[in-house]
Amino acid sequence: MIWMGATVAFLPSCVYRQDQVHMQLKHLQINPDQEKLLASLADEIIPATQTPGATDLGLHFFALKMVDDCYDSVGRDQFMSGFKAFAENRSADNALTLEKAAADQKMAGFVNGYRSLIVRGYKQSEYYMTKVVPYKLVPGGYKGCIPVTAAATT
Amino acid sequence: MGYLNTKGVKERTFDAIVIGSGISGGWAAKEFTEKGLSTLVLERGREVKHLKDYPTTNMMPWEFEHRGQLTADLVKENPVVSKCYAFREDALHFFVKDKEHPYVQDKPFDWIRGYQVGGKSLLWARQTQRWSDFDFTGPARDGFVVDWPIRYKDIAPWYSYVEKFAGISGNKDGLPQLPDGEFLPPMELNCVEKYFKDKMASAYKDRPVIIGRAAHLTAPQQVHFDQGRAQCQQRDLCQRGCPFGGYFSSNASTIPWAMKTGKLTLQPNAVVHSIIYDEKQQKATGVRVIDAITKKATEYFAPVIFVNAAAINTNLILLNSVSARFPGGLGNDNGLLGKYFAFHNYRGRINARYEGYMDSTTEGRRPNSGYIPRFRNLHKQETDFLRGYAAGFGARRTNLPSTGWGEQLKQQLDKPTPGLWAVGSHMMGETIPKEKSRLTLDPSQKDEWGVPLLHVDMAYDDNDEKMLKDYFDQMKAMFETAGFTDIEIEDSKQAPGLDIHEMGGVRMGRDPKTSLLNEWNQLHACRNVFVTDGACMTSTSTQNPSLTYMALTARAVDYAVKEMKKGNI
Ligand SMILES: Cc1cc2nc3c(=O)[nH]c(=O)nc-3n(C[C@H](O)[C@H](O)[C@H](O)COP(=O)(O)OP(=O)(O)OC[C@H]3O[C@@H](n4cnc5c(N)ncnc54)[C@H](O)[C@@H]3O)c2cc1C
Repeated sequence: MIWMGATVAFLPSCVYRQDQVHMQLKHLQINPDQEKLLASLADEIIPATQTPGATDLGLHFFALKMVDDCYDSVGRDQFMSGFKAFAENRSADNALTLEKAAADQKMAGFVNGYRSLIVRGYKQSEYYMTKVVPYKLVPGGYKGCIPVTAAATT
Repeated sequence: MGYLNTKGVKERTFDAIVIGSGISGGWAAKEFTEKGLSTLVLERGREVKHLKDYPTTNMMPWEFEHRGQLTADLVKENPVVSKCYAFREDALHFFVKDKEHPYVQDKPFDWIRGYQVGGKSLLWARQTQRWSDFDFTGPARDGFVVDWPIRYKDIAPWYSYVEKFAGISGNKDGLPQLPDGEFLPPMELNCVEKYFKDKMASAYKDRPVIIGRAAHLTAPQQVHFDQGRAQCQQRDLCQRGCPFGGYFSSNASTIPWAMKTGKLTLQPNAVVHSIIYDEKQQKATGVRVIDAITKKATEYFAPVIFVNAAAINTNLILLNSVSARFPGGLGNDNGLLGKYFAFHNYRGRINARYEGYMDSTTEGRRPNSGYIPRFRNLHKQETDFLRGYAAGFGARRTNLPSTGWGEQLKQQLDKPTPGLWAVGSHMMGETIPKEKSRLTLDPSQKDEWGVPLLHVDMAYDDNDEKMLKDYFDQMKAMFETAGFTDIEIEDSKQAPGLDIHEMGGVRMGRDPKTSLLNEWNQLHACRNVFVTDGACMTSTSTQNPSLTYMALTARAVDYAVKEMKKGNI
């Protein structure tokens, strides 16, 4: 099983071949078009700005990995059917945003689930935990009451 | 059983045998070896060496494939152990998987185990509250089970003894129901926890909120440095094994200490099958061991045997130690072995929010939480149920949930806005041991080491249900008094066992007719066998039990060695 971690995902996009999905999945069937769509949705959730966005950090791979390994078969099926419904609607209407789709009963489960996986992947990425809100492996202590303004880390 | 070992009997004979290397067995090993006895510790699991065998200890959160989460396959294959909150991606390797050692649940019971050198001492939550006479006199006062053969004064010096060595942080709170110990500096309650403490102190006479007493080196002393341990760094990653030895485990503390004496032989992968009873000498002479991997049988001998396999496995070993003299299990003249088994009621939880201290927060992590000692039925019976409960209590500042999409979402994630405080509590209820709550052996099915499968048969009773309701009522009122909002109560409905405070089956007592062990944890009917883990407990109290196992163990070894010197064992 290959997990494309954050470092790999920073490589230039030419390492991706056009006809193949870029990670091995045990259960989910994802074709290259679907992968592309999931990647662009990930960037719609967390876009690259001055700082890295979702696909720069490989978060769409992380999300797929989590669905593939940690969802049970019911959860996986729901994810896939919601995703397929979204993909169909999106190809009919290019202006369909995730936000709008979240209001639709058929797509809501997928949209919210994917969003929270991307958000989780972001907050638990090496980038975020070293550069944005640094994680200390060895905090050394606990301060039980400090002004909010002074708080540096979680 | 094929006896294949070729080593001589002399090489397999020791001054003392200890079964199990977890919290209690580690203490037995330390005490025996320090007193100069050549000691064999038999451990069914693999070797786990301090520092060397903690593979995940220095991993960053993002280095875990699933960021700590269990895979669906693991959950499916392990319906029991996957319920334990600590069974996560970073500590999987320290837990027994369901298939590895099957048992029969006559009623639902979650048996959570760690089979390795160190046992569950690597995994425990390190809460170390002393018991008091409210606990030791409980059965006598309230008329259940049998009277404890000891009182607080008998164990108090041994609490001090083990606390100094293990290193227990805590505050001297001066509470009769939770006696003070030999404390290292306490960890800190945070602002909202302190606020709750003050509110409860003014609203109630009997509901102190304190910081938990916990086995962490908040200020290590020479005796801890001598163990090679250092200050707790509050990583709060304890279940991985601590690179600082900041919390007490057998691996960081008692086992290496015993090893330094040169008197310890530690034998991993050694499944104790049974204790050998000699009819002529009228005592136990040794143990029968099955190699966990090769399944080869070997016998080891010693004049004294300590059974510290953790409560359930200790019952299993004794039940399986049958002889013409003891057809129903070693020491089981009264038929009570395996009975009066009990646990703690951990079903109640309550969560809420608090909209105060909005300009304050916390920093760092704290491997500990607040604690509310038992206040129910303490001085006298006052409710329609017996005994009472202690409660954990904690508060933490949350961030506002991130909303929206795209750049807006990203900005929120990059600069989280503090939200309300989340507050929560969980219940730790005393349960009443009953004769029908019991462990038995399957008449035909055996495990791969030739030991009968264990049956577990126990459930919550009416007293537990009433107590749970009272916890919800009282805690809800306390939360309302403190102005907490969005109060939600939850009955986890978890099965007995998930509390991981299983106790009893080989209870202590004064009378051989109604108990298995005397006041020194010595089998009434087989005086050179001692049981000092949870199996010995007469009643369950509300406090986490492991500190008491440590103290009872050190006390019993001291007694056993004196008796050996007098020629009585
Ligand atoms: C997640 C978690 C949190 C906990 N939190 C707390 C807490 O905060 N406070 C508290 O007091 N307690 C807590 N506990 C419980 C605590 O871990 C146990 O009470 C304690 O470890 C019991 O010590 P022991 O020596 O009896 O058993 P263990 O530490 O389990 O050691 C028993 C050893 O015996 C070995 N063994 C078993 N059978 C055999 C056999 N047949 N032959 C040879 N060896 C055998 C096992 O492999 C094991 O190594 C917690 C437990 C867990 C898992």
